[in-house]
Amino acid sequence: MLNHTISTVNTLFSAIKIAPVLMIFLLMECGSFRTALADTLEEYTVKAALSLNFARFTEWPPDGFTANSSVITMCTLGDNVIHDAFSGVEKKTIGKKTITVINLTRIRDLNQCQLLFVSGMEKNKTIQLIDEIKMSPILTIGEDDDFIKSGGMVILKIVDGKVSMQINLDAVKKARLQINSRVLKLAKIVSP
Amino acid sequence: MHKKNLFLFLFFWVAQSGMAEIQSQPDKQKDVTQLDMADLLNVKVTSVSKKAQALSDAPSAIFVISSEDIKRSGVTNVPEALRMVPGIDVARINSNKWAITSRGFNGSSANKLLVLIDGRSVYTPAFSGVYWDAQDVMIEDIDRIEVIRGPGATLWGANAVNGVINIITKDAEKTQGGLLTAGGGSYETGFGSLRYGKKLGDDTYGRIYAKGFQRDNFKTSGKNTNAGDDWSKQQGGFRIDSRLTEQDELTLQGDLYHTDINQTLMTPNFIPPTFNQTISDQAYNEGWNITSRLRHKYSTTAEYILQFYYDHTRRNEFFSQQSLDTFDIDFQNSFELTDSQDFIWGLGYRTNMDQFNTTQLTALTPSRRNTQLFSAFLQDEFTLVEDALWLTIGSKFEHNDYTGFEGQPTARLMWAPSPKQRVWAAFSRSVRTPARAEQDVDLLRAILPSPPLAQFGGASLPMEISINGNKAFQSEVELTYELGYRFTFSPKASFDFAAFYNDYDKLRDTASLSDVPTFVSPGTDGILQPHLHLPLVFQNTGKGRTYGFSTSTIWQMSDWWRWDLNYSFLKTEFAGTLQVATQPVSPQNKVSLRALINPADNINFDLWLRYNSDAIVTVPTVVGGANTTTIKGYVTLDARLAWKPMSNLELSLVGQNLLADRHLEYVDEVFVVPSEIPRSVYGKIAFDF
Repeated sequence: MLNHTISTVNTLFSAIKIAPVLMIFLLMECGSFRTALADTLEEYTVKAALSLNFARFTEWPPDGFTANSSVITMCTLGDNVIHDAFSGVEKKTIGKKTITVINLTRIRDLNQCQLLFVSGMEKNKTIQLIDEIKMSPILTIGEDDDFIKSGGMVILKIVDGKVSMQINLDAVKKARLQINSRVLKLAKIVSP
Repeated sequence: MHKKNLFLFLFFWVAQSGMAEIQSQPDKQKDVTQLDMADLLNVKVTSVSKKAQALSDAPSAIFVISSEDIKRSGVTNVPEALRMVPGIDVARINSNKWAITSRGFNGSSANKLLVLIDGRSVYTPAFSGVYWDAQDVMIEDIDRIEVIRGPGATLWGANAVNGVINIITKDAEKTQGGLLTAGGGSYETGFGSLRYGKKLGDDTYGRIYAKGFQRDNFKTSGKNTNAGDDWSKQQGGFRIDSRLTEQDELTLQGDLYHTDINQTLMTPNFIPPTFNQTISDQAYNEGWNITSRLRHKYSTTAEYILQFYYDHTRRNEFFSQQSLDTFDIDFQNSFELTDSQDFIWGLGYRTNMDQFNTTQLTALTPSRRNTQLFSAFLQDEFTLVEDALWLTIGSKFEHNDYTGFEGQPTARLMWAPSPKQRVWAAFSRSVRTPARAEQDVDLLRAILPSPPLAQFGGASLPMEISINGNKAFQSEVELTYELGYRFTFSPKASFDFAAFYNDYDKLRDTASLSDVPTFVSPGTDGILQPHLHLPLVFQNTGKGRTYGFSTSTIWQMSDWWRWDLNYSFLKTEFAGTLQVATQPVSPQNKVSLRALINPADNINFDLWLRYNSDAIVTVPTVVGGANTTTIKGYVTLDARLAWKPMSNLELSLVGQNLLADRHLEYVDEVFVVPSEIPRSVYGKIAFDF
């Protein structure tokens, strides 16, 4: 039995030496046409850039910025993938203001944020979060329908491989924010 | 030699292409922020590299199998899915039995692992192991399987000595509509499942499912005969998720199942000359369970969870007839203690009511036992340096009917030298509390002809070797030192390393109470012929250590090709009187390499290559316990090709263990005749409606 096993193992070693490797190379070649088509961008790179545009095209009430601040603070609640993507918009300027990104590890000091991007948070927690800040001038951006249902303002959702925007205008107004009509025209206006 | 060359070649080829890829990464970020919104909404986006890039913040050796991983691996059950996890040893005993452990000591009665299905513990207190043939879920409804290697003792139960496997099914809201799957093939002779999910009210969702399968015989090891180990299962269940208020979520779920199992056993008896017989055993297991869980969130940082479950199982095999009813209630509460401290504490109560019928081979005394377990835990996570350094300390306390109070503390430190890196270290003490059998069993292990005995005129008598429980059997104790490192070295690749050193004391061993077997006169123990009896009794005299490491690398080579490469190394050393014979040894080297390829948008092609080095297991033969045997290492390959002609229809073809006609993975320590895993193929259709 042992001998049998050994010989089987030996045979299969010689077989696998070639087969999978060949298969892999074959696939590499066959599939290489796909790279040519791959004019795609990372989801969160695009979402971070869209968030930057929201910062550009949103007007905050005067009390939303602490004393003539020269920064716009974008906060994120998410994992390292989100952090990485938003590091790409850090230090960008909008008029005279500079973007600062704060990656929150806990749900605290939210009032330092003008914009809050929320990713991968469970529904239960999202409801509490939105409830806590619904009257504060913080533009909240999430990723799925539940976020709007929970009272969030904007969702960036993947539909057919592209990002689509939905805006809950009531929530935006309650927080005394104004989003430029150029942006609104690109979005679907929804209510929770 | 060949296998080494192959793996080295693959490794360097992958590594080399990886470096090239990373260096040629165009800096797209800067361009993107210049795009205007209309363009951004019009560009095709991809999130394929999310899996490769994400970095876990858990200061433990955690690995997550996603639902996508399960689908693309082509596995049809949970035990096979666990082969994806580094540091977990999965060895198939026959068509319906598996031996699964984390960090060594593999055996069909492997006893240092906690397995939870949606919060319900499924290891059996009879021997502290898991009857894998009874554990099933609708495979498409699994959200993820979280596996933590190492002691999870602080939050989880007492059996989480070397790991926790947490099988989590999807919220009912995510499984709306119908799903029909059906398929069959050479080993999976037929399977099917039907699930239907519906909205039941405002914020209330439900689903029901039914599934069944028929799996064929393996071949007896070393022979060309059927191993007589085919089996089938029918299972159904439901889950309801309801948001009662803005703060309260209620989950109610349950399952009902019946499994018919065939197995071939070699069992001892008093009939010369072989003193054993081969038995075709028609066995079954069945059960039902119901779980309810309430989550109440009272702020963004605080919640409590109240859970209870009732679980009934029954099992009938030639050597064991048992039933078990478990009632469990758990409460846990987490909140922010201060700005830099997250606190979590909990209380639990469990009662196990079992019954064992005496069989030809086993008897438990008493035959019914009702045991109770009280547990409590607390854990505090301190943020020592914001975004950089965290310390977690905690302990679990429990009181059980076998050994009384047990404390299991742990301390874990995590450091983030950069946002892309995590370093963690941990120290824990954990215990494996006695199983019911270790105190109460009387197991007929073997009957052997004795050497010629002078007092019987040179005749040989049958000698009965039994394994007996010990009422004074204590908990096994483990001290664990762990070190881990995670690094996302490009947006498309990450690396995870976890090393451990386990120091065991009071390990289970068996010893005979006297050097000479006792003579038993005819009739005194119900046996009508004179014989000898040598009882072996469980002892806590074993000492040993295991150490090793595992690595896991994920590389999204391109948008349509991902590599997952896992390697684990394990060394097992026993000290003192403990022989390998009573503690099996897992393979020292294991490799798993998966290629997940999307040649077109609606086509998946997956390859999965696995290598295991030799493993040592025990075979019952000789006086004083057992002999060891070596299971030869093996290499095998699975492949899956799937095509979606429509968005709601998927056709797939899966080949498993393709590189050899069949291979042996395990030899059972007790009665099950070893069988070999064959090459197999199946086709499957999945239809959403």
